[in-house]
Amino acid sequence: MQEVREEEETRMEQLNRLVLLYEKDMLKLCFVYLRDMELARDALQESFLKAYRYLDSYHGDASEKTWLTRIVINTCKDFRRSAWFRFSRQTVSTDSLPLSVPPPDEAHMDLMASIMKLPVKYREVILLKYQQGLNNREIAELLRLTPMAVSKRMRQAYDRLKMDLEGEAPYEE
Amino acid sequence: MKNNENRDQMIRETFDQCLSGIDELPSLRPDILRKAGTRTPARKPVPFRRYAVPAAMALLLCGGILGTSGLWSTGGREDQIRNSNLYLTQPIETALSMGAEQNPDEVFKMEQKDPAWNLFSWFGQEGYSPLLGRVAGKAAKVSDTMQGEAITAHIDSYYYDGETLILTAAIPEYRTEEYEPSEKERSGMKAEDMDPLDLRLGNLESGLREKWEESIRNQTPMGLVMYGQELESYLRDKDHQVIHKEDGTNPGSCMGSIELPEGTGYRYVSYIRYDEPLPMSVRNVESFDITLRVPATVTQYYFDGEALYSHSMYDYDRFDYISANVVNNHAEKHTYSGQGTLLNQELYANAVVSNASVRLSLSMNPDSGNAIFRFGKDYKGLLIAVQDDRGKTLAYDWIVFNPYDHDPDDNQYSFPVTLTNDIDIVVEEFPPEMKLYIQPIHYTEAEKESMTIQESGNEEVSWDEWGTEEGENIAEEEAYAEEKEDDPPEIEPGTEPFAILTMEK
Repeated sequence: MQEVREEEETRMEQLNRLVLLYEKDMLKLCFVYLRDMELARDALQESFLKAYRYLDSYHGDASEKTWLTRIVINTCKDFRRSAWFRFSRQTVSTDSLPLSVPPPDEAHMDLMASIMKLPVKYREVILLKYQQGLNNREIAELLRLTPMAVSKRMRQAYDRLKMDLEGEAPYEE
Repeated sequence: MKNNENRDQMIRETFDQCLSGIDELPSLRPDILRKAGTRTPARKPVPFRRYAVPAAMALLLCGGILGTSGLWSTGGREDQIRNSNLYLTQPIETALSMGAEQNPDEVFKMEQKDPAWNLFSWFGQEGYSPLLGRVAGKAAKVSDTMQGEAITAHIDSYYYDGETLILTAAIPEYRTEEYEPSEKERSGMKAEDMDPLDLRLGNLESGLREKWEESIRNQTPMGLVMYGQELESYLRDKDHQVIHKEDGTNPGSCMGSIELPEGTGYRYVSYIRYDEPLPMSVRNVESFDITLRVPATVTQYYFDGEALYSHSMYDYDRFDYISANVVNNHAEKHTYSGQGTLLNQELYANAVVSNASVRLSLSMNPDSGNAIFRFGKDYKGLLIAVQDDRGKTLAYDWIVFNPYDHDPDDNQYSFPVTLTNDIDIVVEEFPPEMKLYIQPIHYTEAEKESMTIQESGNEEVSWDEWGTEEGENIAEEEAYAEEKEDDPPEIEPGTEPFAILTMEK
């Protein structure tokens, strides 16, 4: 009984460490994925609880952050599969972002708005590369794509951003 | 932007600047630790190797996923949700018949025609899913779906043969009330690109519809709030805990939903097809209990005298669970196995074939897995088809091969592939042998060009060059290729397959 309790305490310590290390990064990931801060917070909690539940399944074959990022992405995808996403009219906004101090300048806000408008398959590669700092191979591993497919998506994402920022054909997901 | 370095810096700065406010939010750590303290850790899982399914496959029937945003919250909603369905009892089959005929007056005159009728039949008959129509005879109706005198969200029917699980569910009509949003709420709303008169109002008090229409005609401001429910695809056990796979993820699913006409009493009907192999705890068991969560949704609408604005949100604190006891129908299924070569390496195949799906397990030497992946630089993916002994394709799909999840300690690289395409083919008699056809899918010339450029190291097209005529042409071609990506490609005549395996019962 004592061993079980100690094992559980160790697991809680591990979870505590994961949350301390990665909470904010993962919340940003969730937000950009889901475009809604409330949903993002839900997804974040769900992700850490999944990670806690399956701590034993982590064998160190990927980095801890990669493993956790995969769980977060899968959770966000599950959230997106719900009927609510399918039926709600799409509204894309950076309004629900917490205020930054100092506030971003207009050019960065415009680019952020354009990124948020990207379909998720483009948004996620941009996010993973620039916000999470992963390279194409790591992104491919996370998204279960070939590195070449990641490159392709990255390029298409750049094209779309360019078109959007220059006021060309708008696109919808 | 003068070059790619500037572009990269600009994007990084954008994330840094725009998302930095998140760093100042209160931590969720106390909540997470508290909730974790109430959860039981999973037992150590058996080794399980994931397979690579492209997003396109997952979106086969899940296209058009849309997003929403919202921050405001309304309190005290639970009672509203609970009472939102004050309708006369109306079986879903009646509602669907009524929807088809567009005649609300007939709704209470119709009788249930067939006790075995279920939503699988409807999805099949209406052409939304040949697969569901095909297995409708083996689908089971969930008995206690109607609760009291009200229409409620409910699981209508299910198909479960031990390997494949498909659920259908119905969600009742939303309820609408007059509502005066605050100035702050109005400022968070987004413009709706629709005629306010076309807004589906759902259930509402007598006279409210007329009041709404009058305000639009008179161009006077008016607000509404709509309370509804939405269906989640998480598979949960009877204690409402998500049923995870052995690697901690959820079994991937596809959801198809059809909005029913106003006046039917229902907002929409859905089916959820769990395409990835089910978690071991619910695979090949005699029966199990499942629940699905149905969170409440709230949408505010505001007509300002000129245009319509809205704001929508989930309310995860207010939800119902809908449940079903799922019993194995023991539908006919047969196991086939065979071996052959793929890129000069041994390949072993095992397939469980039923009218609902073909579940393949392919395994090979890890070296050949790596060989395929290296070879994969020149092709888009693998088309995998199962054909009967007369060459008729029973199921097919395509995958992107990815060996990253291979366990280095394992001397076999195995991965499962589920083929559940909605092709209208019934395996009337399971033949003594089947062919497994594996063929490379090649990139189009436009895709190759794009890829070659990308692979060359520096991304050659700078920010300044985007939007040129040439760039637009490539983008158009890629967009076309992308549209096609969601559909499994057809077998290309004349293309040499990687492998044709004969699988015997």
